[in-house]
Amino acid sequence: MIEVSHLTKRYGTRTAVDDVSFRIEPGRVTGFLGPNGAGKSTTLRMILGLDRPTSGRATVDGRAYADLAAPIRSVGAMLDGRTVHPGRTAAAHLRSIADTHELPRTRVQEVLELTGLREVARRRVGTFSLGMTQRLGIAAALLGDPRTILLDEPVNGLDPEGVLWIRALTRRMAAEERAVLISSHLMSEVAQTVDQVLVLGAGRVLADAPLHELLTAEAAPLVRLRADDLARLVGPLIAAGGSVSETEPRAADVVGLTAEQVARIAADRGVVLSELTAVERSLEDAYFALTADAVQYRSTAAGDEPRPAQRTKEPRR
Amino acid sequence: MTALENPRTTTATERRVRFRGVLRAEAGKTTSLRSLRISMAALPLLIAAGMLLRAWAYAQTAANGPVGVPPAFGWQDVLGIGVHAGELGAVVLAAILAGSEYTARAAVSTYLAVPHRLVVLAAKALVLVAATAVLAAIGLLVGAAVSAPFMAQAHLAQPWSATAGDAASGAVLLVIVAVLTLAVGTLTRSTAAGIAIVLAVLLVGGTVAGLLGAVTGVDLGPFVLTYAAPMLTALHDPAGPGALAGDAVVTALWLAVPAAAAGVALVRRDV
Repeated sequence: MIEVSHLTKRYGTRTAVDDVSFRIEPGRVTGFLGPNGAGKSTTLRMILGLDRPTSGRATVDGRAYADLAAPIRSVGAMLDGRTVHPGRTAAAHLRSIADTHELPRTRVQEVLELTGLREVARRRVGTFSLGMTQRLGIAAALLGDPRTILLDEPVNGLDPEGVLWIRALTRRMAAEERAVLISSHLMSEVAQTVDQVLVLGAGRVLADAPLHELLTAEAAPLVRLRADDLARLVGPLIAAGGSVSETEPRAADVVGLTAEQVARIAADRGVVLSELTAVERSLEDAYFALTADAVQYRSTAAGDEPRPAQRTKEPRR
Repeated sequence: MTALENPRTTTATERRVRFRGVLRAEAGKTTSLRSLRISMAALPLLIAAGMLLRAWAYAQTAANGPVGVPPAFGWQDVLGIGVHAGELGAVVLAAILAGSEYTARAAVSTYLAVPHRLVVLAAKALVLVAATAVLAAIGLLVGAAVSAPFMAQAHLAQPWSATAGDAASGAVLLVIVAVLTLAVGTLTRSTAAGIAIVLAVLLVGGTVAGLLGAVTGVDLGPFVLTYAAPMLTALHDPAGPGALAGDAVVTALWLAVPAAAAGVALVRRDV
């Protein structure tokens, strides 16, 4: 189990991580989400003793990472697949890690086999594709058969088979009562894998809740409607607090009102609805709702869609 | 194809980090990089080639008349050229060893496995000392063997026991240079900076000390590494036996200060 308590990291006047506290429990997969610059990687690096916190504490199984007797037996981490010297072979890289804990060489072969790298074990890592490098990072994380797994963007660069494999692997590890933390930007992937969601924004915890709870609580309701006399409805819907966007002639999406509220407004105005659908919100919707105010680097491309700008003031737990 | 089964748990039994494991890992890392293997091969070759060249020059001089130096001086000169050539190899080897941790942020993998960074540095230093000592000794002895016929032509033959003593002194000197480079490379986190700084110390340290001495009126020569370390390793200082203690202190400081700075930086800086 990982326990982070009031962790803070400042670089000069900039605060990268601001009084962050959370627990990563065994037996479940936790998704670690947040926009670029939210402090996710810095938090992971502080947990793993790579960065020194300005204040606060992070422990793994009750101990600071540096105090663990056998770190890779406790935590398997892949922070960035490309933390390998490009001139070293995959097998040599894994052997150098295994040797520190005097693990048998057969274990290196096992993880190479497991990650599908057996055939390229003697190739230099510098010749690897992104997906192969990711697999090597995962192999290194699994080498010590750890009780806790931290994977930063594990499916980045993986082929569909690899994505499925990671999903199955992490679910199985959680079923084995291991603690699993996955950082990712792929919302659909996270939604299919995690039990718990931890959202960081501008260095602070914006949400720490079970996935289903987050979906129901954070995303504003979305209702899709169709009506011949749509124009008569728009004003009353906006007046009731809804946000209306016309998707096609005589059809619109209404954000912020429930299907029941929309139906009542339509009935009051005598407008006949030919369609009224409550759209199930996604993790992506909840994520954008949470991080709207915490995005540090925002694209200004024309294709960007505006997102609801509501923000949770207190972390959801 | 990727195996879709779960990670096996049978062979990774309870293990803990011990120094011998870290030492083995560092030795494996040293031999698993082509650049380091080339550097290790180059070190004895440079030494032997330097010695051979100097001995050949003596033989050429002797063809035109007496060389005018006693055998002991001639052999010290030959070994000295070998050591100077070897310094280049030792510096490059140690700088690559230190800098390879910071190529593609490989240090992240290292310190995830062994969070106590000073333990890693100690293991790395031990591997470097062993590799440099063995390779330097091989280079100096092979160099002496291939130089011997030319030295004999120049009437500069001397007993092997005398040559072996000077060779041991040269090997220790190269180990000192290698350890200094490891410390500087670890401090700067850069192979290029490690090479540049140590070569500057070796090549222009004496000149700078001379210039400063001329300005301040203080003899800074004994404080230069290229003076103190050879005197110490040869166990002979023209200033007298008492000066050797000063040479030992100066050499120790040249190693201890960068090593301490590297250690502090390693522990305190983020990876």
